[in-house]
Amino acid sequence: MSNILLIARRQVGAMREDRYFVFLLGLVAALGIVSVLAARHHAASEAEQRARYQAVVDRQWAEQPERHPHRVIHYGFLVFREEAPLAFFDPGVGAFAGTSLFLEGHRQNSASFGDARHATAMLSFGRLTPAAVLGLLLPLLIVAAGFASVSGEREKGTLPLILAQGATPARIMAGKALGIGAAAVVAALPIALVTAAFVAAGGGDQPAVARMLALAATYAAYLAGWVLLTVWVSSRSASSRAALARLVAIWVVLCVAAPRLGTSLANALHPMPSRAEFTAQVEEAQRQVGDSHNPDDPFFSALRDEYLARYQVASVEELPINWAGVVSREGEAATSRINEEQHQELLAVHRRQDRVMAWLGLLSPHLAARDLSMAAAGTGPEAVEAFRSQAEAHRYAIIQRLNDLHTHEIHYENDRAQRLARQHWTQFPVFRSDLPSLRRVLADRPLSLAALGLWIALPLAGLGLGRKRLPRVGVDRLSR
Amino acid sequence: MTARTVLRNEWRLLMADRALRIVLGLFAVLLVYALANGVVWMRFQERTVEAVQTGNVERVRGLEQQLADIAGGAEPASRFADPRSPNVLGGARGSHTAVLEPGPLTALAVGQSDLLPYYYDVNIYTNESSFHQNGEVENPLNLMVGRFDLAFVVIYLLPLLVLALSFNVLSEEREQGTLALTLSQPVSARRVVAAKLAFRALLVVGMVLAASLLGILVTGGFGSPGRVLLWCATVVTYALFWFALAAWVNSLRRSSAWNATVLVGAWLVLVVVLPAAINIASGLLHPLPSRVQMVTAQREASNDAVNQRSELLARYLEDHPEMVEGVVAEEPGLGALAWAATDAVNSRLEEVTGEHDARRAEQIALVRRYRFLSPALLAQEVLVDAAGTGDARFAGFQSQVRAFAEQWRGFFVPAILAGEQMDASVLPNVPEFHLTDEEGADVARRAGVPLTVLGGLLVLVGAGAGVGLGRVRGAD
Repeated sequence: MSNILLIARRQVGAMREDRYFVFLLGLVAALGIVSVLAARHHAASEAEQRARYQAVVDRQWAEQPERHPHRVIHYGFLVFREEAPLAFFDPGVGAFAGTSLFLEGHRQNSASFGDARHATAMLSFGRLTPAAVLGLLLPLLIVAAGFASVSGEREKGTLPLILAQGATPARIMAGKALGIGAAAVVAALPIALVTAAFVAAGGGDQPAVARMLALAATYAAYLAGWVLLTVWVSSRSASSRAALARLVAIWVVLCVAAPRLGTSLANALHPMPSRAEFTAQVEEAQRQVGDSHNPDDPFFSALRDEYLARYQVASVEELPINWAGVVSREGEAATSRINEEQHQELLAVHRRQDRVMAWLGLLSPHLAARDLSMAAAGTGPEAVEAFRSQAEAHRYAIIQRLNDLHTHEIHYENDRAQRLARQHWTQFPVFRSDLPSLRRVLADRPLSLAALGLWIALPLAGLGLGRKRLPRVGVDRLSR
Repeated sequence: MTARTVLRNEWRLLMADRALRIVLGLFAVLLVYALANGVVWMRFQERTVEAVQTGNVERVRGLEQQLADIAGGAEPASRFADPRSPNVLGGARGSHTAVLEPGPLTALAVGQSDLLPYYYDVNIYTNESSFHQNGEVENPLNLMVGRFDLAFVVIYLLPLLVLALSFNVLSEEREQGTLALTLSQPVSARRVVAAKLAFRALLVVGMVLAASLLGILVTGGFGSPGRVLLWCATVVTYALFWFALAAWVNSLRRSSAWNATVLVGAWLVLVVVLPAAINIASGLLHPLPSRVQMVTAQREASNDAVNQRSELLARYLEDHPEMVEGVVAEEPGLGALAWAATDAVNSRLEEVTGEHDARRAEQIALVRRYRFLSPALLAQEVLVDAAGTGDARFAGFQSQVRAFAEQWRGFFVPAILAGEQMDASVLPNVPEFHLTDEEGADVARRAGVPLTVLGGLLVLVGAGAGVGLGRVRGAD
């Protein structure tokens, strides 16, 4: 054990002497702090605005004058997507999904005003968020810290000396990994501390803490894999130069190329319809149901006959309830069902694409870590979808309640001239959206979890199997 | 020793290195894959555009049929579906879809074309909020990551290939002890490095340009030679910048390992860290105006308008005295009232969005200054713009759609106010959208500054390399 610590200390000493590396470490740590502060500031001002305007919209709703309920259906309601408490850490797909949703009768609007639409093409380079610093930059820092960890000792001729002092190859490599890991911890610590401070300032409620711990575990596992990989490659390379070249190449493939290769593959396997196709499809499905404004429409005339029979009257005028409200209610039920079905179909394609990415996570741990990070931060695709489906449920409840008011409080005769008192509008429920629980989103990602496990297990196995050959790597080639 | 000897030797040396052969082969495969991806995306857009345009024709044909049926005595299904009424013929049922054809080089750079809408349904109800409908059905995860296109390979991966090929052009000779020998010949270090790098540049740039031209050939982009030229010039300048940087670092007479670390560090900073840092800093220093505020303002506007319809009609007629004649004098029709409300909403929306857009443009202008910090940002801007998938072309399309919507309203609104009915005879006169696409000169003008700055960076770094290499002697 003491051997391991000695070697770790030796590695730390070597890194501290390397001015270039110390500079790099300081830079990454500084970028980390800046990224948390900037992201937090941005998220806080957005959240403040959304809350302010949601209050305005709620008030406007409650203060409506006397109105006909169908007028209120068209007046509609606006809801804003509230970001998860840790969205500043990893904004996930938030910027690319809409932030506000207009809820009205007869249709499901899609959320509008995604941030990305309003930014410039520069945004395609990504943002320096805390998640990007940990997921993208820290692996390179680890590479810089450890590419020469074993190969350097070999080049300097100190490896045989250490071995001769009784350290086994396994202990050497464990010590090296410990030393490099210490550097990674030093670099990641500022981000962790500032994030924890923000979570504590936000009340430190239990779900937020659990999410923060899940993020910490994700990145700890991901970065531990990079440390092990770095030691492994260094121990297997004849020269430090070769080790560096290999590690940088691995980083480029896994972290830079893999994400885009992944989405293009997912798109090729499960192509999306265009908006025009999708809209046409929805309209076609709607047309099948019928036109509530057309008195001869088969769907609505069947409905009329059913009601006339139920109340045993001859015409809709004689019904004890308002027929117009019934038509509106049934029409809403039918169109909502169709919209929801069509949307689910679309969503199924998204989910199939996401599953391709999840499988690719087995090849690129960067994808797996990003997936888990978004899930834990509450900014993954399912968070966006949860907002949409909860808003849709809210919309449907409100619209149907208005249709009920129309059916029971407004008389069929002279329908349009009637108004309902303002008290009615204050009795509607307020919209609240809930994030999918951490447990559920993690349980939905067995592939990503397995990928991170594999990411640690593979280099560990490589190190274990290759430890006997450690003293000989590079020697064969030299003697040849 | 002539340049030809250097070139021949270099080719042999490169091909003898198995790792380099693999890297070059991999790069070629990635180029082809990126190209295939871009072509698939462009075909998808072309198909969509075609379908949308067919939709336009079919919609007119359908209306024609309905109008003919009604003229023949059939009854329209309902008041809301009666095509004789101008707010139906000019409304959602009669809308015309304005389309932006994919940019000529979309296959090379997807750019903003997967994010920004390239078709809008235009009818009398089209207003500022129509432009903000998110509409697209794309998976947000895909939008976040971006596509694997040629522009991505050029911006991100090409520099790495350049660095892998040239980080040790001079340092290796020194480390192997051949530098003194080489320089004992009547050549300067400058000439040797220049010849070696020229060979590598020919190889790398040749591969990228060949892929680009192949893509352009397949998708018929040669119709815009200016864009092709701009694309090629940018690729060459950007690639040469990285070669020059490698030469400069080599001229500092450090070890190959040091060169490699510094060059990879430079790539990381210029291509990954700076752009990402600029994106986050710009959000902090120049926050875009709140969209949330705009949405609520839009809603308030429509709310106010509906509450005071008849008052609005009076005001509308004050603003549009030319319409007074046309309005049914005694009892203004329902359509006219509704229109007055719609118009009031629209002008309030224009006010709100105008303010918002002006502030947004200001902020974006500020943000765009920072692109001079990174050659990757500069190159990306010009490449995407040359491809016709940049912000500017989409903004131009949107403003033309705005004007077209105005024209559309001008055609239908007088009839709405007059309470007139329409028949099939007006169909041929209904406005159609014809895009005036930006000229090559517009693109060249926009590209002028960033490309000049990129060229300036190249000259600067190249000069540094030239001076440094001038000091290299065989003895050190």
